[in-house]
Amino acid sequence: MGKTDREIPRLVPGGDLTSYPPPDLWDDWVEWDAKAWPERKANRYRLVPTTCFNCESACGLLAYVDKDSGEIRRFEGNPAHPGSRGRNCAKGPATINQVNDPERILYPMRRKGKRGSGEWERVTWEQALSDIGGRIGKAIREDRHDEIMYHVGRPGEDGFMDRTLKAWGVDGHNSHTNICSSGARLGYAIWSGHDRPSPDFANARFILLLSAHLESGHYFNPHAQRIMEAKRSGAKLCAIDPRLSNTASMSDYWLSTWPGTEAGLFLAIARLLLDWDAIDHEFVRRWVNWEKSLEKRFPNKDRTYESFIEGLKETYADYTPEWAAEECGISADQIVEVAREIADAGHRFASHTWRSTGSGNLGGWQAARTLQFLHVLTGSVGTKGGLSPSAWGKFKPEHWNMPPTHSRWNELLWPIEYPLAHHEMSILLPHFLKQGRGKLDVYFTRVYNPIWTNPDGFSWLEVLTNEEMVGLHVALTPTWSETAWYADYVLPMGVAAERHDTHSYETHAAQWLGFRQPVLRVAGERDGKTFNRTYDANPGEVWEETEFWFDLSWHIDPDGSLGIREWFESPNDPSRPVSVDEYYGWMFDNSVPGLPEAAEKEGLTPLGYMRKYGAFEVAKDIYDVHERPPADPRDGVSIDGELKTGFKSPSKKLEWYSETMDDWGWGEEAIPTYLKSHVNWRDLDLGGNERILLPIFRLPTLIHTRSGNAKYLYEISHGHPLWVNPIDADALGFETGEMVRITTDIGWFVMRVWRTEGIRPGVVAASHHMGRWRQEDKSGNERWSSALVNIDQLGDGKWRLRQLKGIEPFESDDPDSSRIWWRDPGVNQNLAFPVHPDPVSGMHAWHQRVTLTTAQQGDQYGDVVVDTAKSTQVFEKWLEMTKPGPGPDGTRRPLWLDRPVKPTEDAYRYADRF
Amino acid sequence: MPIGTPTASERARAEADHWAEIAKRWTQVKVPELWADRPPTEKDTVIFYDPSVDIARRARKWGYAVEGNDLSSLALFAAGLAVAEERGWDEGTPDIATRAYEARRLLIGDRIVHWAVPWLDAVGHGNAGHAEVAVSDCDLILGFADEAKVAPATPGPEGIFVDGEDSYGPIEPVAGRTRWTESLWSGEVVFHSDRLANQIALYEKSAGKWAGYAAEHAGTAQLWLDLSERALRTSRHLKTR
Repeated sequence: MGKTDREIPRLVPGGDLTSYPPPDLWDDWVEWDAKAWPERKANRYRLVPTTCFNCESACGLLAYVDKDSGEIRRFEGNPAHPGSRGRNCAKGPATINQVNDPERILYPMRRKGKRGSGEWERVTWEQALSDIGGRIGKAIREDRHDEIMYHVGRPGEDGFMDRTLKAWGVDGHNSHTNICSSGARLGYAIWSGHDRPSPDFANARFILLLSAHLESGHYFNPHAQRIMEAKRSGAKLCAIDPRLSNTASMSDYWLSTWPGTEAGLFLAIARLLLDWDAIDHEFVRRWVNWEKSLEKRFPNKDRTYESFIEGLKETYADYTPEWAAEECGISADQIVEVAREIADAGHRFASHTWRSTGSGNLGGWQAARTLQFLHVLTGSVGTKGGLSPSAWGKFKPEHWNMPPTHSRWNELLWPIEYPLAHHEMSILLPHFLKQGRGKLDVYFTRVYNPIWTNPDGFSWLEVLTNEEMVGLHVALTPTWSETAWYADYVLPMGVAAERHDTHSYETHAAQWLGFRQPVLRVAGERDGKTFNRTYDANPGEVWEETEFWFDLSWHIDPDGSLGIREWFESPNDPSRPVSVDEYYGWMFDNSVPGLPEAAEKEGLTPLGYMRKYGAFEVAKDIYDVHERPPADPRDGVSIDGELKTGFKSPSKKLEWYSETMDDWGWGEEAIPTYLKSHVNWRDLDLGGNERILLPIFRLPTLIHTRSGNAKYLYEISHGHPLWVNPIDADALGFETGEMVRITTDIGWFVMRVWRTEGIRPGVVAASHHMGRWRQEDKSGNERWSSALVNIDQLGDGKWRLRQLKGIEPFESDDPDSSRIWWRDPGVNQNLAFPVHPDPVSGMHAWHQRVTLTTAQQGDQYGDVVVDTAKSTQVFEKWLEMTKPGPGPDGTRRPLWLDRPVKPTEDAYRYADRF
Repeated sequence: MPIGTPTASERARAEADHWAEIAKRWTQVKVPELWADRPPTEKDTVIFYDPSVDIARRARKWGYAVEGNDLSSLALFAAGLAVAEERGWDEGTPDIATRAYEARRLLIGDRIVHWAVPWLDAVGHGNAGHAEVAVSDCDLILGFADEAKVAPATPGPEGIFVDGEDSYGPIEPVAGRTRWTESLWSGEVVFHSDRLANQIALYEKSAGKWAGYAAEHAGTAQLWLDLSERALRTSRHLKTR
């Protein structure tokens, strides 16, 4: 005020772009009620932070709890969350729909009639726990540990189920990962032992996205906002996608490649970088296992670094831009231009791939491997604006009182045919059960819907209705689903605002921990109320899994004789289960660096801090971790005479040549290379009716099964067309809106055509986010999003799903349900896909070679017809491509390669067991 | 583009220079006697509202903290936003340019024009030593606000204000507030007089003046219509004494 000649400030947007209620007002936040206008009516809220439960990003939410009614009014972003920084995509605020869904499952239910008959009775939690716990306890006592399986959709809590299953001594962790990311994970892990990339988008100069990552991938919201920040600072963006996604439309370069050829494109870029000598030689010399690579791949060359570079040039000499242009179906000039951008960006080159090619194609894992190769060559590994391993940007807290690891190996999950599979071979479970490789006594589906989500859903239906194969199916789910319909127990689990767990993801060059919490319980406790269990505070008797697993473990081992109960006893009073406050209180007190100090500054306990803010930033600006001295000298690697942390690969370096791959029979694939996809365009009759189907792109406003009861989201996204380029449409005689039959190896389905130039000719596409169905009019699935269908068995493994009616308005406590104006539920195309397990990564290769014809007489929109006998044939055909273990040392799997709930080393010995 | 028409960048730069000059002229150091009489801040003129939280929020979006909430400080903030707009156009980041323009428009409309114009108008009429620059700056601010159309006249009862309020706050007596017209300088502060008839006449004259402003400044007309109405209500109120 007192100065006379102040300079005009230089203002730049960014940082705090939007405003939020300051945390010191969260306990009593006042807003004027817009609906009461012109009256001035104050609404008072208690704002309780939690974590979104929809996609995996785990963005922060603030729940607005009305202090008068005690109800949650809405969800907005949590500005204290380091990953999402107060911003959310549409799915975050839509949590309120999931909380208030008039048809949500509010109480535990048990099947009354035949499995799948839709007859249910309400039971108490105690009844459910006693029955399920008793059954598991019996199986464990009878040494039938492998008959217990927990199958997680997502988002799971790192370490929690590891702890639970270790306490039980069960190797029963199953996941969705091999319909999701096993391919990319393996491609990354072979380089460094780290199975995910963590790009520093915000500081990048050039960003390359293999897939529609910006609009809808992992981690959509946290990454998209940082990509846009980079663009504002002048970064260029390249999207590789056969489809003109929203991301591609925001990009400086859109490379519409033939599906499955992307690894060839990356190798052509690598060749150009080598030709131009746009290589960070110091980085490559120090951090690539070039000595071992020389020895194994170029044994006749001198043992010099220069010889290694010479060998690389020879290896990739055939990958010319012209070759890649022909193979990938894009121009050579475009390839050179993108390569030049990468060269110019140097250390500030960031990229990402997760699903896309890696999950679409046979050999798709090499897309991640070859993409990482570009980072290795340019030295953009661990740099500001570059790409780091995931673990550097993700914080995993310790869990209280961790039990020792078990020594079992479940062949249903980790079969000997797939020793390098990055995750459980979950897609093959129905086939293994049919083959008699084992059976399940208690099978938990946890927020997972394999009948609808997985390929080959009718095979899942067949085994889930067979009580010899699956003795007891327990669905832990916040929503109805196609799979929950075939459960024996449907146990309602809370959504974002109704449960405890912790999360951390590699959203940027930092580490943070988010805390999901049941907001009504937290708000009530701040008002002085006490709750015995979270279901006392949640709607109905919706529970949370943390307490569920604690209590279930007590019911498995009520007298402690199995040695299980002791891991779940309160440290303060062993006569009762550990409480969530005790459990997470220990975690925040003891395993989150900096949190106790930050809490103390505010006069809070660490748990109180997390309850107040919902998240904590553990570290930021994390770069070059590999260059740091190792915490334990035995874990280090000597680089130029200095001990460094390095990476998690066997050599602790970046492995261009992987001895592991070679040892396990995949010598040709041991280096970054190009593998021909099962849907390579050259093999298709493109002049006829064959095309490549891309069935795995997301709609950024939906999230698999979980968004089925989110009316906000279905009002936005409620169409399910088959994208067809006009060139193809003209050749095949298709008009927009016309019904077509899409035939796969095991059946066919019927969709409507959308002519669009947003897809490359030769390729058609349909999102995997549509096609929900239910078998009864008023129950069994969300009427906001599902079709009423009839499922007919046509004999000999032939099934037909037919829609009886689409989405319609319905009467409920929510007046919006009578205002539904959208009608198209979409088509459950996944039912008609056979399993395509990649023989190396185990990833299901989603892309399909399909035949397109005009719908035939009698076809109806949404029809899906499948022959599960053919499913079995395809499974067996792909099984033949495997190179079963054991490995050279008699093990089932390389010891260094991560896997969930890793058992003791002796469990890896294959010969010892058979 | 016709010859001689300035580009958006040039217009933003020119406006930035004007705001920077305004910022220099009305600091406490330059015009201490005016600050002693009534500081040039919204809080001291529109007494029902303290804008400090709102101003801090707007500034924070641009990584900035406004030093004070007076005319000089806000003018400097507006100058900074105009330069940010200029730079946005020049550097190929039109998203930043348009965002800076939007922020400046809202700053002028929400936090400057409605009180700064009456304050400068009063200075122009009551302080000979500052009259020329006050009138000149008043015209400048009015010009920027009119061009940005921050408050065009709304027909009938239409508007975003609660019943019983206008763009300045409550217009009916508020319980416990006897000086309810003091929400602006158009209230009793300026037009104090020992003779009631003179006081009433001054308010009626003021009403006419603000109606005239409204007629001449379409982009800010609603503000001046509100002031005119307030003056009339005050005069009517005084007549009941």
